[in-house]
Amino acid sequence: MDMRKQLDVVTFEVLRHRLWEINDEMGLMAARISGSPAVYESGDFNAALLTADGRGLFTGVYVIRQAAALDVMVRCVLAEFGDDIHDGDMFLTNDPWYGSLHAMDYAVVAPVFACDRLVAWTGVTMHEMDVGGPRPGSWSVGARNAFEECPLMPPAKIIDGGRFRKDVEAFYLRNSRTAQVNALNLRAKIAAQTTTRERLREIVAEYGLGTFLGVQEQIIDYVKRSLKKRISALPDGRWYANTLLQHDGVTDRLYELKMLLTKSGEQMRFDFTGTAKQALGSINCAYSGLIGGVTQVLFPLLCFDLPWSQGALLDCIEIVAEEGTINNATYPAATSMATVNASQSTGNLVWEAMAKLYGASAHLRDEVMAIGYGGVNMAVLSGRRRDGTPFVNMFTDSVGGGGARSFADGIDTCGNLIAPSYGIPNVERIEGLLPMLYVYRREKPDTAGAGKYRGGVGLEFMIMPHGTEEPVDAVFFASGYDHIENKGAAGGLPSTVQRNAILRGTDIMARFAAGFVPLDATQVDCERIDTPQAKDVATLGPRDAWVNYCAGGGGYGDPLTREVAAIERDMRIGLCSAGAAERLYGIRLKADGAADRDATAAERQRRRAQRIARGVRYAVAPAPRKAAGAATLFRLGEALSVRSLDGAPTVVCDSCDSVLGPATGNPRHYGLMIEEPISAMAAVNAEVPEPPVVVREYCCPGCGTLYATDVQRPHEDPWQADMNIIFPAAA
Amino acid sequence: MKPDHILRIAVDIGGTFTDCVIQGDQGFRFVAKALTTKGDPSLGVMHCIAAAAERLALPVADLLRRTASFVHGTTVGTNALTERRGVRTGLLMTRGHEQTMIIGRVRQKVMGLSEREKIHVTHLNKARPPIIDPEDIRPVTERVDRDGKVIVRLDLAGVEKALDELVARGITALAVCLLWSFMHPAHEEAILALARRKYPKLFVSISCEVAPRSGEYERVVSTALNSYIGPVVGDYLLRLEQRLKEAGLACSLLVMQANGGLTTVDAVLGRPLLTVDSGPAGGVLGGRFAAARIGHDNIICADVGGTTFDVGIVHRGRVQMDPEPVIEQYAYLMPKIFVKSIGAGGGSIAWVDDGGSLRVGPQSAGSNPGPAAYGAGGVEPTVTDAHVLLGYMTPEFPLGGTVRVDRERAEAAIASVAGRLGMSNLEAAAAILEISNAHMADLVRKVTVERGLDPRKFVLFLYGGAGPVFAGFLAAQLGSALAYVPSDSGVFSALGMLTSDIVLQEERSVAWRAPVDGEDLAELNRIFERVDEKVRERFRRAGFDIATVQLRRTVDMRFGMQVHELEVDAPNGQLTAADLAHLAETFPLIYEATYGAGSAYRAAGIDLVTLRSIGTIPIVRPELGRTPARGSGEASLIGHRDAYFSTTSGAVRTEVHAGERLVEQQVIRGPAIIQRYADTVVVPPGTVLTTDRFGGLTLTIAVTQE
Repeated sequence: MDMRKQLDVVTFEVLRHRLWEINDEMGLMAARISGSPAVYESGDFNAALLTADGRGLFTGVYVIRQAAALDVMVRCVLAEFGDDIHDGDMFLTNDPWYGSLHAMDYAVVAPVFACDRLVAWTGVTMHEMDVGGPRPGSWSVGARNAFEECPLMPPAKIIDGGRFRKDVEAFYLRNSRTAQVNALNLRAKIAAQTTTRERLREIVAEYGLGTFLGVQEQIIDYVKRSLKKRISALPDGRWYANTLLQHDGVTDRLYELKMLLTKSGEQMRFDFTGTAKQALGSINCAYSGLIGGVTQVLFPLLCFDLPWSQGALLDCIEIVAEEGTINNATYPAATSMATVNASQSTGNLVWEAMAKLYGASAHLRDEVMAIGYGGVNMAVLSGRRRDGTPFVNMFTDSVGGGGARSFADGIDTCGNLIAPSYGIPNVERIEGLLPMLYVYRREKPDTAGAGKYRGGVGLEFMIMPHGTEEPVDAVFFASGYDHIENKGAAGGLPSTVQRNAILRGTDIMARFAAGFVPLDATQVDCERIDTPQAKDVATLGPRDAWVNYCAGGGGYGDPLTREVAAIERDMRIGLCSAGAAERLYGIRLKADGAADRDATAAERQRRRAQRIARGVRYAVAPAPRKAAGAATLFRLGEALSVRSLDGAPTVVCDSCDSVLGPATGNPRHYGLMIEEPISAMAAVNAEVPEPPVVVREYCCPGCGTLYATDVQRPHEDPWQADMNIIFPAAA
Repeated sequence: MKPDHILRIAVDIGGTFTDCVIQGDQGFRFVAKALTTKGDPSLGVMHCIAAAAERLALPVADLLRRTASFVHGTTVGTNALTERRGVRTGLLMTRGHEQTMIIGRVRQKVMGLSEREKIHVTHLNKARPPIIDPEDIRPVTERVDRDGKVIVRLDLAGVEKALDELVARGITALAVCLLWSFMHPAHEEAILALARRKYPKLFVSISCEVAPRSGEYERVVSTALNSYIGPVVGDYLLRLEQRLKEAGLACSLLVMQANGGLTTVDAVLGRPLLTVDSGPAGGVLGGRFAAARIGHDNIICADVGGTTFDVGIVHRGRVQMDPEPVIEQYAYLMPKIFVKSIGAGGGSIAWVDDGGSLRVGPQSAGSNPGPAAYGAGGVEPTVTDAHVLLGYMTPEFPLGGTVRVDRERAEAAIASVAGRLGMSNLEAAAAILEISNAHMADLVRKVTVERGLDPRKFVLFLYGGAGPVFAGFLAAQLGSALAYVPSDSGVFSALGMLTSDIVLQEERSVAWRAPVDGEDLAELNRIFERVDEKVRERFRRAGFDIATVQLRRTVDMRFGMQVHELEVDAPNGQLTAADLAHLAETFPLIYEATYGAGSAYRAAGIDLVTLRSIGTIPIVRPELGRTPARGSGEASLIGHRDAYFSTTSGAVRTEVHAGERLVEQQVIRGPAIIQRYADTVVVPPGTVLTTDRFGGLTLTIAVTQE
């Protein structure tokens, strides 16, 4: 019998707000009880409320993909346990084929019973510092399959009918290097959900079961309705995206991920067909990471003023991926690095395609954002403190810059926006906990993607062992060092690469003693510099230093259109060097360091002419034609618009009114393509010995304004599919 | 008032009005108001005093001469921050870490934002504009490690050059924050001495004085905010003190701090950050004081105005503090009473969203144009308009004698949403009220439940201009049995300030793992003595007799590898190893009481993080005024009108009582409406109102079936 009751408008709004708050509180409460730095200070956790059949009702504003995958988890538990799910049960799992993203994300999900029936689920997941396996921190560099990684636990009852299962906990903790913190976090997850369960039951008691069940359906319907309306207002068409992942933990090679976004009416389809087969090492993600990878970007981009309801969102989109691929890997693939590799890259594809789609929309242009912090470049250090006790610490202060927006620069040292509330610890915090010293931690100049609006810059730090003679072990797990993941949008340039370096046998202490504080690796003398691979292990000796920096965000719009005053300011505050200003923005400086406006204008004109002279065409050039005065249907990215010309929608350059071609085609085919090595973008890119990628820029043949850019491998077809807008059939 | 009355005056500055409460030593109380003067708020204070003197038929000089204490809550510092009207401030920070404030621990982009703002991810930004222009930041070559050992010596010549540059650029204040300076203050002190010598007019703050606590981001923010508002707050307080002295005030001017204590103008001059966000503190203190008088020690304090709804908590008689205060997206370190705010109140606007759902707030009509019913140009439907339509407020009783509500305008505004929802205007008004009550209730639940407290076991204190009208409904939503509306609820915050003590405190971060003994214990005792002495010195400098100062010590402790720090009381005098062991035993108990059973992580060890000394000089508590039995028993019932309640399905004939005619121990059964001078108290059906001898109204809510 369907007990779900149709609610009046007041009860709906009252309960919608209350359930949202309850979910938020559940996450906060779990984090407060945990009190561990990774959870409470960095925010590496999330929480969700779900319907009785496992559809996400609300997702917290923490690491979005963690909660997004809780849907998968609850449905797996429902399928596995069937009628063996009872009041007072709670399930513990870290298995990626049961909804965890990777082994370190230990989740507890709990059924909520009221009036003798299952009425809802709750879930809390946290990234644990270590859950065992070959490497401290459990990022299992070198593992070839699940058996060589940390142990996986398919859903087990950690609480069975109200009774805490010490045996299950013992099995879990036995495998961890950080058992005590894990134990505390486990209690935090349980305690928060116990309180939440009571609060949900209070609502049932107050409003009745029918209302409680009814409001859940109505919330999902409400979000679905709003989303469908929003989606149907977007143009129909196809948008393509691709990205690379470097190094699988065993071999240093590149993997390609591809996506085709088809938007048709009220539906969006994300098709990953053609993505690389699953890798030998731990960079794969299972279906959980694929779903989380997509929704971690769609919540911010589509639901920016709506409840983050996974159940509703999944009803409006379709996700297609072949089994056995890098972002839909099958057991027993290695997956311990899934989050910051295949799942993060899946998200990058969605950012890229959505920026192009929104760039063609009349209402959501303000939501366009280039890719920011697409790559992840983190490490876990482990060793012994001065008192001999062991430590394992993931360095969460490896953060990049935010993607540029259609109206503003990206956020400097922004961090990963799929975890909006993520924070980095104070230097004094880390130095207080670990025998390490930060030589510096600062914003890294020239890491941002250039553009009319630039990306945010990334962070760089140098740290070294301090007050210990013991070696410190490091495990590195970046998504890549040699290629660039943060593409620009609408003609903006991509960011830089990201790197790690180990300076062996430095003279830092001598420089300190001489009253000098180095601010980058070039200001330190050392015996040699080791560059780890993207996934690697290393040992730091007492005189070694580790330098880490992350890429900035991609830029938006042609850099030659950036306001000169904004560049001057970036130069004054040290975020843009004079060389980069000249190279990327065509700035000509006067002797006093200020920009020479006239010379700059002339230089910019010369650069545009140079693009026209250098650029190559896709096809034979049509006769030049202007479209001044033709009615604009909508803008396309930053430099172009679609105008009605002789009754046909046509792509036109907004700066020179040149007609580019029919709006149903791929706009890149109408432009001139210029290929640049990545070393031309930034000095740090020149440190990559054999860059596997180049930057391709597409400009208007009439005036040389950039309207698209891409990061591709040299052998790739520069004219490959990018977008096709589909217009309604003429009446 | 008799001529021998000794007076105590509290003045609180709000957005529109400056309120003044004059309290005599025998329960006499008098209230005056004047318009807030934005440019120089001290003028508004003087106008308010003049208005009071005039109504008391006293010369201002007489009034002030009889004043034994004059307490003032200032929003000058807070406003300087929120409106970016502080002074241009330079920042010096350890080389390699000078961008700490800009990086903002990355999380600055969401700090202090509502959920609604956080989910609009593409529009997040770090604080804009930043309090300190990145161009006004200079690195200092020096470095100290976590043990306080110098590993790079201070380059004072370089500092001097940087300082010259910054001054040439036009800074008038300076903030200095060096890594681990609380372990080794000498470098910051040397820079302070240099700056004082070379630029005596520069306002300088150093982090080891403003907030000698671990955590360089929050410490540099505290130091920078302090310098940024320093000259503005200082000028204002000195000007006000001058005006009051010239007008005849003989006692010293006391200033409200965000931690709930009073302090002197002198003590605030160097540390104006103490006053930031002190606005809501008065109400919470007043709540605690009044609640104690009527026998409660668990209360939720809710201040409802036109645009914001502020909630504070008193649990077991202790005001709950905010461990991580945030202002303008900046997290800082300063003891502050916990108050959580949301955009909700009489001015909240009702609207229908794209999905056809009725929403209320967070947009507000504010005080300008205000609700449609105020007839000042507002056309959008607000919660106040709903109150008018439901019959809770009528044109016959102008609020504060001046604001006459317009029912037609209110109805027209409500009709705009009612039509879209297919409801009658009355139904829509009731719906708006219910939703806005629910949002407020959700906030109250949030701040209590996340602390492991059950809101149903608390008495709900409601004050502020719009509080009393919500009281009965909100308590019912929360399942609270009791709600309390004080007399003079509009000036309750000012009144609360009179219930505070003079409090000055000093602290110092340390880094020890329990057990602390041997040389560490000796060092701990030395630090405590120094911190105690600093507190006494502050009192001495402020002109107090230090013999009257009561010192109290606390230690902030935390579990190793964990982030939460909690304050544990420590004995005065020389501490022994046994004393320290006792602290280590007490801490886990407090921890579990705060974060829940099972949350204590004993195996990780216990760290001592901060040593604090709090000096207090108690001031004489006011006697809450008895309600004067005015009008010799004239019946309070002054008529009836139709009012609509969601529980009565239709309008019901409702008693209307005149607030000033209520007598002690009077009982009124709902539905009823109490018309007071500045507000309206609604007693819903099933709720019973009783009056007490202080003029406060207790609403006892009918217990709803579970």
